[in-house]
Amino acid sequence: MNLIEVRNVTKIYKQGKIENYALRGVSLDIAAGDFVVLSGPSGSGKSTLLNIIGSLDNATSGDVFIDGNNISKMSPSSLADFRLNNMGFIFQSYNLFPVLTALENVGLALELKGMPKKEIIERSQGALEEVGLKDFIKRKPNELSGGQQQRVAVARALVSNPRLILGDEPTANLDSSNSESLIDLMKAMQDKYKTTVILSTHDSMVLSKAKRVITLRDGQIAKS
Amino acid sequence: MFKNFLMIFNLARKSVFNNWAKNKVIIIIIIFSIMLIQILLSVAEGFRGQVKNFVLDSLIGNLKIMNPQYKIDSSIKNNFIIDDAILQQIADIPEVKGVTARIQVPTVFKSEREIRNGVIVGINTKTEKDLSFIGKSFDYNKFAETFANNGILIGQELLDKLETEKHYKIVASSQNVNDKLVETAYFINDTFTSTLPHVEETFAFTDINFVAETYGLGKAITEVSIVLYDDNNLDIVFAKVKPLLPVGVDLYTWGDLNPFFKGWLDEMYIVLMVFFSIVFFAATIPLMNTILISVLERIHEFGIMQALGFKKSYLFFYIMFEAAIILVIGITIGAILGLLISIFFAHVGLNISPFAGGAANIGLGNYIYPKVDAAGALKIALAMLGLGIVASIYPSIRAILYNPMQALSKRRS
Repeated sequence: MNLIEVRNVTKIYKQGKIENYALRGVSLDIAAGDFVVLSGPSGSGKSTLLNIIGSLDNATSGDVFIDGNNISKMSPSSLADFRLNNMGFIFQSYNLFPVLTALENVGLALELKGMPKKEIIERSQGALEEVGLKDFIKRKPNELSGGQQQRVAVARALVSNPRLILGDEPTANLDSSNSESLIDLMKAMQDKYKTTVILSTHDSMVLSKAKRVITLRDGQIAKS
Repeated sequence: MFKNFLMIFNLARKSVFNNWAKNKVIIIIIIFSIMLIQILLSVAEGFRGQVKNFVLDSLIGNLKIMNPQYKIDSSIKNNFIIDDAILQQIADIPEVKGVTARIQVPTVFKSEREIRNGVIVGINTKTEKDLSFIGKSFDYNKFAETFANNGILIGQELLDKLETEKHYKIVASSQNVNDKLVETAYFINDTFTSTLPHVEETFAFTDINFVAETYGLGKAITEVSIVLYDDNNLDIVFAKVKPLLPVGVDLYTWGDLNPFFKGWLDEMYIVLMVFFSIVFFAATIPLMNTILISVLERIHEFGIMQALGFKKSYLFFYIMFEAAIILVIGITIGAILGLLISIFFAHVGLNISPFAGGAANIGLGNYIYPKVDAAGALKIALAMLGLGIVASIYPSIRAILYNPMQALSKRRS
């Protein structure tokens, strides 16, 4: 069963009178529980597609359905709720809140959901334990290594059991050892929770571990 | 919903303290602005109060009944007669603290060595008590003894200028009610002091009946001074007293009799308001600027928040809460410091002796005693908070203009 259906999505960036096509009529389906990697050279449109699927950006035309919901037609407020309840994000530069501890960073989305404090702490601690950061829960991001920060980001993405996790080049700032460890961790989590994972990367190690690789070139799917 | 706002508030609180290095600058600006305004307000209120008290205490009172001609020519021939029953009716008005009749006689005082201009004031020792400066500062029980046997109470400064001493005799030359020169010998039975040099060197007091008899006034007087509990009730009392007065007599406010002081106090109020507005804006603009810079530096952070599921309205309140926390910290510390400094100077006085020569003429001694006004301090604090909150709206709107992707693409500061 498809969790994601992308239909004829086009994205045009305008610079004055010049139009740059980032995506040209892309259509694809992603099944629930899949581990998909979007690959392609820089400028191929993989990050743009990932962001549109994640509702962080709008398509110029076309539709994106997630679990039957057309997110292209949703208001910003509804999209915020939709992201909160269905998605987790892992960014290249970790994007943790510098003012919060690892535990607080992980629990933030749960707080937004209005979960009781006790449950937030238990779930956040559990998530951090699963990513191997049990002893670092009170540390702030600047007291953690890059690999540890990205693990916190993974814990944050997983903690609310989202249906979909999106990662934009999550290993780009990590060394090979940390990269492999992170992807193994994500795969293990994906197997455990049956979460759909979509990553964009050109890291060959990540590509080798993907169940499915979608290659983009010049804003179109070259290989799926 | 409430839980979310509480969470956003906590996030804002952590953000303020985590970015303390940046925020402390604006907090210090707010502290100094509020402190400066508080101190200036209390000094100005003390200053205004002292000037006003000078006017009210220096034999004028809040209202004065006079023969209109006396206002033009302060000769005792411009006298009037008023029934005791009317004075009693005025005294019975709830807002009125006291009513007293007087006779003021322009006089030339002569001692063995010196001659000075001054004024003999005939007072009713019973009704004068607690009304004018002399009724407040001089021992009430000593009036009868002082005024007995042509006794007179003169200012210490006048005594010094006349180069004479207590218990010596002076001669007062004045015109009587028929414009004839009357020379009367008085014994200086006692002296008074005042914080106001010109009062000390101008006035001499004795019994009203003696003055009336000496200068041929009979039952006539030159003025009735009305003192109120609160000058804010001036218009109310004016409206109640005016209809009671006989023909040929008029009622004047202290402002009518001292247009210079009245105008000066009114102008001072306007100048203060303008000054406070400038200080307010001088504090608000850097506040808005600092918050705006802080917002523009953190657009990327707001992108993450949106990606996590924060609505734009939450972001708006996140910035507003940050500003409110900064404002509350700055305003609270500034208000407390301002009040403490004001209380200190209200106690010890602010020495203005280098400028006191001119100040004495407008009713001040060498010291200004700031008047601590807690209600005024609260109003200033709330005004600053309100202005600061308004100034934070624009940066907060800027924070929510971007969609998540646009915000995330902004370089992290």
